[in-house]
Amino acid sequence: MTGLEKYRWDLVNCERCSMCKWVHPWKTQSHRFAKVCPSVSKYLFDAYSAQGRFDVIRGLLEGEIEVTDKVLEVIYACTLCGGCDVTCKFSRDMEPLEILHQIRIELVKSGKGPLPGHKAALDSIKNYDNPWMQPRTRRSNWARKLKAKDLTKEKAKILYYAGCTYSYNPDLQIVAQNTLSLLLKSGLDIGVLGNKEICCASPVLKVGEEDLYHDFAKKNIQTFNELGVDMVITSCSGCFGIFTNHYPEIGKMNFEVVQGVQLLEKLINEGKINFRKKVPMTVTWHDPCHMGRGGEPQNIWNGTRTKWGLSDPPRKRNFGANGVYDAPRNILNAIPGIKLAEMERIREYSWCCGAGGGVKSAFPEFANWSARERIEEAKSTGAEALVTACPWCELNLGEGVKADGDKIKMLSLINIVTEALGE
Amino acid sequence: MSLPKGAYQVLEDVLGPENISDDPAITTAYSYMWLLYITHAQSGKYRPAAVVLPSSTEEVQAIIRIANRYGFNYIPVGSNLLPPTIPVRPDTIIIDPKRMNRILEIDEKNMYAVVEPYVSYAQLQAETHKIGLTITTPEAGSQVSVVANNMFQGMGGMAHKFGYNRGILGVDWILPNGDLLKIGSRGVPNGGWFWGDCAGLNLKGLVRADTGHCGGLGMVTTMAVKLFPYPGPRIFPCEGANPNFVAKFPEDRFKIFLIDFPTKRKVCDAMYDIGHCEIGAAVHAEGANWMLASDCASVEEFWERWPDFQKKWKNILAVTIAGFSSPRQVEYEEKVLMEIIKEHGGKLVDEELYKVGYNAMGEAFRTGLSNRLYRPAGDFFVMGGFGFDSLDHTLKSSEIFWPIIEDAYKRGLFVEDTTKSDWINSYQMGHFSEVEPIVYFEHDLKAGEAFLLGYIKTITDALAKKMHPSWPLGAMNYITGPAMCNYHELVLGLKKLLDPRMTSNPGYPLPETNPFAPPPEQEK
Ligand SMILES: Cc1cc2nc3c(=O)[nH]c(=O)nc-3n(C[C@@H](O)[C@@H](O)[C@H](O)COP(=O)(O)OP(=O)(O)OC[C@H]3O[C@@H](n4cnc5c(N)ncnc54)[C@H](O)[C@@H]3O)c2cc1C
Ligand code: SF4
Ligand code: SF4
Repeated sequence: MTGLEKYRWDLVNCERCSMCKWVHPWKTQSHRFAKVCPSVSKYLFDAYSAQGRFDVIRGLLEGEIEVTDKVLEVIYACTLCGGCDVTCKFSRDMEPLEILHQIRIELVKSGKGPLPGHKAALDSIKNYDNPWMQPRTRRSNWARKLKAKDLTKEKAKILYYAGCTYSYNPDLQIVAQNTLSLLLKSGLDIGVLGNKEICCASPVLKVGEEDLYHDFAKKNIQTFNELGVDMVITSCSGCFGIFTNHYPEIGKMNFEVVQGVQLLEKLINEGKINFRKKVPMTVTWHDPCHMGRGGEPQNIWNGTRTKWGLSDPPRKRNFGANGVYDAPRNILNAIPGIKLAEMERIREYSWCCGAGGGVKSAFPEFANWSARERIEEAKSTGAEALVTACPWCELNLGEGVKADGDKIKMLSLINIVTEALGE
Repeated sequence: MSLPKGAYQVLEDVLGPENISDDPAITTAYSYMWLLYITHAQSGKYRPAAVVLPSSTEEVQAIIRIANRYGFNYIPVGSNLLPPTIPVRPDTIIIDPKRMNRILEIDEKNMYAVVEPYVSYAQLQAETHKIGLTITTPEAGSQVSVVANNMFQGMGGMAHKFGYNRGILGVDWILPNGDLLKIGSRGVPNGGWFWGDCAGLNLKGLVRADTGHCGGLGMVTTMAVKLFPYPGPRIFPCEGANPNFVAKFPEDRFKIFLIDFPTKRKVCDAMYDIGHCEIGAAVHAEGANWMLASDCASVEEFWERWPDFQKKWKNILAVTIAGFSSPRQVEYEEKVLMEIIKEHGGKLVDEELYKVGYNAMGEAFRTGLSNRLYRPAGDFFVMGGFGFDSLDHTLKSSEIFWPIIEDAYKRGLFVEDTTKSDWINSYQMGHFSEVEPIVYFEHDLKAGEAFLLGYIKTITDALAKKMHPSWPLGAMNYITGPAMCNYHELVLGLKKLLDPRMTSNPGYPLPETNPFAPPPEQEK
């Protein structure tokens, strides 16, 4: 557990304030939607909060307890959504999310993690470069009808990185298709990697398989650098979060990483996209964790805590407020007919869809529960549709919507944009 | 660390298997406490034997009866912030109320709310603000439990105006023997929740007395709390993003004044006059270290600003004025306040300091910054304090506390503080007050020892001067009791009467034997 030693200060100084369980009190708008941590909200025992996990990890470090199946459950039944990280850091100089990642890495190193439920996706990534057990040869099928450059053969300024889920999932491929098609029509010099695109390895890191993650991350950074592109665009928030928030410590990246919605907003502002059709609908926006608080640029720090807990060298921390929050809202507000009704837990206080951190595969019931919570919140706004820009959120919330009797629609932002373009 | 044979099964039968656990992966999360670690170095020594999640008064009653039958201990908790929620004896279970999280009623007309123990202040306020009512919240933060806080100190930022812990109305309380006792109007058939006192014997004082029994006398399962008028916006007016928030209230109804006085004496004189004139919603002298911490987004930022800030922030009184009845109330109170400031030689702070202290107004209405108290060094606490008495007494107490604190910081154990950062509170229009000298220290045993011994010295020094001592927790009642009509014997008598098997958080409100007593003489 040596990788956790550098967090000892955090672990012993947690004061049990419980801020990590709730939306910040000043941002709390109701009794019903006051909580931020899906895990402790579902499982109730404190062990399932950042505070409780700190105690469990401290207990492991100090030899008070051992790794058991229950310890594994406690550690992995967490979506790594980062809600706790935002709320803890408001008042404490601690890194809950880093610690929650690191304990998984340590569990894997000691041969205890990950969970059996994670195995299929991991094997698939190892064998096929994607978590969906799909052959590499079919990866580029989604883009067949689009005339994008093949960057394995020619040069372009921008790489469109579709990610595994948008590439393979037949229900979601339309997101990548609509995005790329729109970007091409806007005259951007853009291309794809075709079957040579490989997984970003976010699901690998999330369950603690650090070595495998490093292999993929290094390969991706090398490929992107060698392409000589200025920009990598992705529509997948999972890929976006891992590129911006985790890759920088792996190696130098000679390109900018952009979420598709950021570029769309820019094109709207530049007048390159004009909406011709009204879309009369009230919608609400779900901030995906990895595009929001988890999409902030990484602040790399290697140092120690000195007297009074000061960090040496001084540490710049991520507070979650600099994620991609305005772009999707500005896009929705620019579409004629669309009325945006906000939920209570938004931006850095967004409630997780429930799919992240390997929860969808290992704890499907929890993933579903978390989604249902979000859907309740979405419905409470009076919206007809819940809109987002992340395949994991869309799949998991979509399942929740179905289980709830389709009382609200689940939509991808790009698909509304495409409709408003009237094409 | 395990329950008597058969007890787990009986509890499981009552609660269902998913609502009880004795797995160390679960119980460890209830075994560690920052302050216990430094003061007693015993954290982790006793994991709870189990944690239970009841969903109703009946289930709590069943748990407590089972504890009596099988002879194990239990601790009722709220959000678990305080040291007495951590077991320091074997065979102790934690009663975690997370499934008891409902606001059962908000009575707008009669201005009260009925809540279960896992309702937080932020949750309750969020609902009451929608109908123009509010409740005062503690510096512990608005994420703590309304019930637990009222069971403990229940002193909020608005206690100057709304009163000090006067909010408890009807209560449903499971006594340590498992009986359900209904207090206040709840005790009268169809009496409802609206009244805290009742005809005949008034038992409200027994629910929490001075500063609560720390779970040592059973568990309150439902509580009605008083609400007060609130002229603010429906949604708490917080602007900005993490970690930079500003609470901006409508200026015609809310104003904060930060006033620099030449001495602490002058601060208290002004506080007296503010009370006499019955103005002000929240009135606090704000300590420099806490004010700066509340404005800093990191420990590094605090330490960068602290040397200079110490020179600027001294003897500063924060007065929040609210127009409960109308904007004219604000105008009137402001005029009166200006006269008081003039009379006592105060002056309004400059813009730089005003910006730092501005959020004290938001904090008065809904605490949200207070966990930043820990920012400057990791650990903090109040070194002596809570000696509830007059404002004059507050001043005298401060004189007792600071030499003890200075001694520790000269030894490098606490953060040096030349401003003598006292947090002085006016309660009930200045009729009484208390002071909390805020000290910072690192999470280590030497500092913890200095804190604990120093705290005890604040008590003994105050008693030597025949003053109301710092608030005694648990065993410390054996130090204060003999100097104060042996009240501790009465408290212990009540504990034995109500909890004859000593299963309800044993050690609280005070342990059965005096740990400070000299050991019995050995026979030669
Ligand atoms: C930084 C800080 C600032 C503070 N400032 C203030 C302040 O300004 N005003 C103030 O009033 N307090 C203050 N406190 C004290 C304080 O922590 C509490 O009053 C607080 O509300 C605890 O809430 P909790 O939900 O965490 O309770 P817990 O810590 O869980 O419980 C508090 C005590 O009450 C007992 N208890 C809990 N629930 C019940 C129940 N249902 N029935 C019977 N007993 C029960 C517990 O056993 C425990 O002993 C402060 C504490 C800290 C650490
Ligand atoms: S918010 Fe941070 S310090 Fe507070 S309980 Fe959670 S992890 Fe601990
Ligand atoms: S990452 Fe999310 S689910 Fe995990 S402890 Fe933090 S808030 Fe809870």
